[in-house]
Amino acid sequence: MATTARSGGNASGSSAQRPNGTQQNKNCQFKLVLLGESAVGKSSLVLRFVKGQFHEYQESTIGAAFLTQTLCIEDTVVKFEIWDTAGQERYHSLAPMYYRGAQAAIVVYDIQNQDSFQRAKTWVKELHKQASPNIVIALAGNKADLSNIRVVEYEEAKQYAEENGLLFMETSAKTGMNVNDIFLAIAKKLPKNDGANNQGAPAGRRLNDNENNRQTNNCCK
Amino acid sequence: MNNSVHYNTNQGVQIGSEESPAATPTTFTNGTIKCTHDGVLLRKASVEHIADLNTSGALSIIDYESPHRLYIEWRPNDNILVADDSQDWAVVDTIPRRSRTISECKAFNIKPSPEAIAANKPRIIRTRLDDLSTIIVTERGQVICFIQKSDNFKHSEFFFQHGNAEQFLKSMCEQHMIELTGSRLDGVAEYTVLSTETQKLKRTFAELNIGDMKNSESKKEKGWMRNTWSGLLINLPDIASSVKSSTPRNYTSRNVGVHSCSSSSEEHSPMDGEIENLKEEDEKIVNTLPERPFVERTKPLNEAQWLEFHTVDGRISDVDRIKEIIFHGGIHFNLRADVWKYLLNYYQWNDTEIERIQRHKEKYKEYYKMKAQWLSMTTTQEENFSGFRDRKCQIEKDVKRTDRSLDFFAGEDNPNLMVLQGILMTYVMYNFDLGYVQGMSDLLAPLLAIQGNEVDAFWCFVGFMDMVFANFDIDQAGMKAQFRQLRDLVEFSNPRLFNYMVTHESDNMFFCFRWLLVWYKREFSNDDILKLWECLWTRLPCPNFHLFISVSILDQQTDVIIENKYEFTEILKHINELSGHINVKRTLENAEAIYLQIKAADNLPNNIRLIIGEPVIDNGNSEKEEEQSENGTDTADDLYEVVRKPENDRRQEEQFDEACERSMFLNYT
Repeated sequence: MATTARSGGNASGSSAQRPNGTQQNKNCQFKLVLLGESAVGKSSLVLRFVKGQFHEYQESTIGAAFLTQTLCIEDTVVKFEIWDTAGQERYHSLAPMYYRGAQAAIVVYDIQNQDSFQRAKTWVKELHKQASPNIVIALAGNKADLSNIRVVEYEEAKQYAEENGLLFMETSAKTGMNVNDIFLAIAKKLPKNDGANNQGAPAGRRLNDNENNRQTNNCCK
Repeated sequence: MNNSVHYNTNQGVQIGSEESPAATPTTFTNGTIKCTHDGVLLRKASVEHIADLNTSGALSIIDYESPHRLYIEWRPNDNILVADDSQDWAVVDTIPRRSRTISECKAFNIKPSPEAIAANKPRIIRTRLDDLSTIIVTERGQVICFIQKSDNFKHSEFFFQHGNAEQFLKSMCEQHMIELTGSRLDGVAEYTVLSTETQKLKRTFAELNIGDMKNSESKKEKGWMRNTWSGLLINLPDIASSVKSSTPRNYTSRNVGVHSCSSSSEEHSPMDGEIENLKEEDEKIVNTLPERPFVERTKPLNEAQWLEFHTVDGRISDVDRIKEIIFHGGIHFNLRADVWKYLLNYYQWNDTEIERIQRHKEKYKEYYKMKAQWLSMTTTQEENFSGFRDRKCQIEKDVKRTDRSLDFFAGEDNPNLMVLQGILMTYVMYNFDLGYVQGMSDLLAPLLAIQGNEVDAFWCFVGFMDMVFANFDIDQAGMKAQFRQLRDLVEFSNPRLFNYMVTHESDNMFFCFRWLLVWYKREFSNDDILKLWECLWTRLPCPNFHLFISVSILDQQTDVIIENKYEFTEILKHINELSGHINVKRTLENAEAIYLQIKAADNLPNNIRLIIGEPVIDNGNSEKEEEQSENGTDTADDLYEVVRKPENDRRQEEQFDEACERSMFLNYT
């Protein structure tokens, strides 16, 4: 599995197309998980990224949704396996099974909601503590189309992200603003960083052997 | 090597004498641990250990001085958090591990064991190594299963969470307790438990260093010697096995599944043939199930029929018959609002018209009392009451996005959204501990749309929640229990899919989470969900019939899943995407057919009997056990009543009435 992204290592600094139309010679596959308080727009971000759709009254996620989307960066095809989770604290106990083995996470908050920003911080802490050590984390301040009624300042979030080594963007699933960009930024950061992605599991955490093998097979030849 | 693994091959750890918490009168003293492995989940065992299933513990081989025998022992770790990897669950909330509450047992039709009621002692599974014939290793070395000598039934099955059983078994081999008798490339292996005599013999040879030569491939220069000695050694077990009781090796299922058991009728079966045997085993399972009967839905309960069941004074007669009609055909849409009140325990079947009117009035009063409680919360109170605030906030978020595509809730500022919110807030006051959990608004919305009335919808919702409240346990205990039951049902009724899921790490059934949490609400159109729910509310033909809906859908998807070679994530994706594409009529018919098929099966194992509410059969001490479980049920019922019964403190009620009268909410009462 350590080979997963290494061969995609030079795949930075190019434009992405979605979906891929051209023939590519490298394939990478990454597990990405979306976390964040409920109703901040996790599912909407995924739906925008994967299907280009937006539903004003997107229903709450029960359990988890699993979607895939492919990005092309230069000669590399990056396939995201996206786990979209339920946000309510009540379902927190399910979260580890989603972020276990994930190479990337998007922690989402709602710029109109201070509590959701605090919750995002605790998610980041938990990921730093429990997830693979080299997981790429992006912070998304969603509902940016409503920035006239924001309560979480851009600078505040930006500073927090910098201090904690996170990618950061304000996004709007409604308008599509920065949605593809944040996934692309993650994709670019991932291959460079990999190497240790998979040494990663903290003690006591069992990685799923089968899954690892599968990923290796599918990845970056 | 994993920290949790210790192998003490030479120096044993002395463990002091102890009183056996198990029922056996024997006391075990001065045990020496021969090898031990921590973090081992109990996967299968006899019924009395049902409470410990999927509990983590330490599996050890212990040599006791008294009685002087080798024992296999599994002790549950108490008071630890269980990271139950076998089901891909991990508990992060620091809630101490708890045993199933009485009410949950009721909800899931599990009879709490008398021990569990008396005390929550860790119960040890202990058996003499001599009483076992074979150890089967499956699932890439992570699962080991003990087969007992007496009847070739599975004794127990364990899952190694950390790493696998390799070191444990290796250690047993090195100490000549067991011997590898066959293995396959995919990790399935079979070890024969050596009799005490053979063990002694082997140890003697080992001391002469012969064993090493037999196994060592590196000593090629001594090839001649290896051949000579190995020839001798290979014969040894044969001599030994002829001394052993010759047990026919076709394992049969009792209260444990048969899926991972290999069966071989020949004494020295080559393991290559095991796949064949597994297939045969599958077919055997299929063959033990009788043919699936043909089931066809009938017409819904209509107005004329419904009126016929009314007695002169307004009682409803022959409730069983009505439920049967509803189960097989549903309810005509005009009657739904009325009949649902009965099905959801809001109205009582046996009440006269007068009593019903009285009850209706009281329930209205009660509702508005509770509604007044949250309406009267001041801003300061709310600020100082985070538990309330959180619940309120979550409700507001979810109400906006519940069933907005239905006409009843569509459009900006739809007043029905406020009603939906009002009912959920009042439910928070009715059951603050449960409060509001995502998914509940999904359960309420159709009830409100049919009842069209806030109070009636509330009480119907209370009735529905009483059926499903364990789905919303904070530690997911209720959901986990259902996944296990569903897994058992699939294992028994659809071994082909079950084996596929086991080999593709999908047998945790987690992909059914949404199905079970909100009773398939997200999978069907609104019209269909009404049909499905009213059928399930009859609680016919057995408790847990809602699980058969899952079994039925999975049954219909078996070919798709296997032919497309779906892995866990793909299965989850596929299942989620089935939403809106499932035929409710066919699913219900198929579910009932599968139920009837299972029920008619010979040798119905006890785990299945428990799930479908059939009496448990037991070997020998059935009378005693039945008595115990009956007592258990009674106790459970009593406690359940105590829990559910609203406090009727007269004095407080009077005070409250006064408060209400003086308050601004007079108009509510």
